[in-house]
Amino acid sequence: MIGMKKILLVEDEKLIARAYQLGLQDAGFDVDIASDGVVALEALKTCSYDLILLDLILPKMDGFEFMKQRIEQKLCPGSPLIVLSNLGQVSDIKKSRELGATDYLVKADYSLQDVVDRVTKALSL
Amino acid sequence: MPMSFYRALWKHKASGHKIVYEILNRRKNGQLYVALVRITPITRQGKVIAYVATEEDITEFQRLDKAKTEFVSLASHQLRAPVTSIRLYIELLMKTLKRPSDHQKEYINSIEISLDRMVYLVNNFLNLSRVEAGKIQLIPVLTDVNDVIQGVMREVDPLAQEEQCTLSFNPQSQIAPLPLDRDFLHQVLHNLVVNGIKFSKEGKGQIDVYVDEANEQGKDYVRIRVKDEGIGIREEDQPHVFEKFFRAEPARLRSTEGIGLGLYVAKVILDQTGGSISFKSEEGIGSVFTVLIPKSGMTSSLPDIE
Repeated sequence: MIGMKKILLVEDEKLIARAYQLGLQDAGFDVDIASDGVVALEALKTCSYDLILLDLILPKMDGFEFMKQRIEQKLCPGSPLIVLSNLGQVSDIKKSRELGATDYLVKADYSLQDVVDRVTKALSL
Repeated sequence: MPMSFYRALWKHKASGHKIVYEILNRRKNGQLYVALVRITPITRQGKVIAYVATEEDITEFQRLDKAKTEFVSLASHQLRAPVTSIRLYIELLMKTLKRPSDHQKEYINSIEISLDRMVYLVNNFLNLSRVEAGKIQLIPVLTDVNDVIQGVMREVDPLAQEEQCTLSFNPQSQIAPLPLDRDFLHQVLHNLVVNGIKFSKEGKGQIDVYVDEANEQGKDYVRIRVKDEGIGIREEDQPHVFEKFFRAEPARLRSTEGIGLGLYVAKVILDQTGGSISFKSEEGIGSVFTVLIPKSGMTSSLPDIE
């Protein structure tokens, strides 16, 4: 479909990734899933994404390192990046912001609909 | 250690108070170790005449403590993933069912209740680790105890209905709000009411919650009592009720939830914040659990382990 916004969802928990994918697809987004930081970085190189949803605790390369690499390699630099994690420490939020995260959501505090709403909002700006 | 540390230490010592602190010290062989140092002043007629200092090597203790904290952090993350997953799929399921039938709503509601129960258990478990690490920080805010009890009653109502148990509570307006950690009190009372339901006799449970003021040993307290007409606690079990991981025999047989931590954590925290928890029980008649909170409020934090 032309004009469909493309989202890269970086999440290693298969069931959680699938649930977010279903919710976002339902809202009209095209969603690719990357199950670790390395795969996510490769995906960014080959395809342009309108938005990145990123978990922080990931195998092979964690979310922080992914964000660092994204800046260094200038991959999709203009796309909003929303962290979607269960880490909710102030230090994690601060560090994520410094590494280019435009929004930070603690999974346990946000419903699927909340996440869809935040994504829609980020993409309409 | 910088000189400023020793100056500050000397200043504190000169004030005549007992001091407990941790320092990184060096052995004669150059090896570093963490020392817990206690300096206690000896006074005579109000004047400090001497100091007694002891030093304890707590390197190993700290290493274990750090390992435990890391484990708790890891475990809590691991436990959150399945909980998140279940919540997301309940939401998806509800969305897919355009017009859910009453049965379907009931089933989903039951899943949500069970999930909440699981989260509650996990939190109890994590609280234990925090209590043991001395890391529970209470946040006392001016709270109306009636509100907390009513909140608990609402929350527990579905379980009570399921177990055919009647809950009763009459708010008492004369109880003035007092500073306490709302979440903590909620958790303690939730534990007590749920226990009352679990140990009720099948089909005719009755849980009454009372709140009033009491004076014990010259101190004013707000007293909350949770009374059940359940199976009671066997005499031989009674001394162990507040022990960690203790579960009374019938609860074990009924395979209800609970891991024997709620009362233990409640007692540790209440004892250390100026309150108390106790009970009276008779087999076949029922139990009454009494929580006392000082009218002046709970103290804000647990004292450091000394």
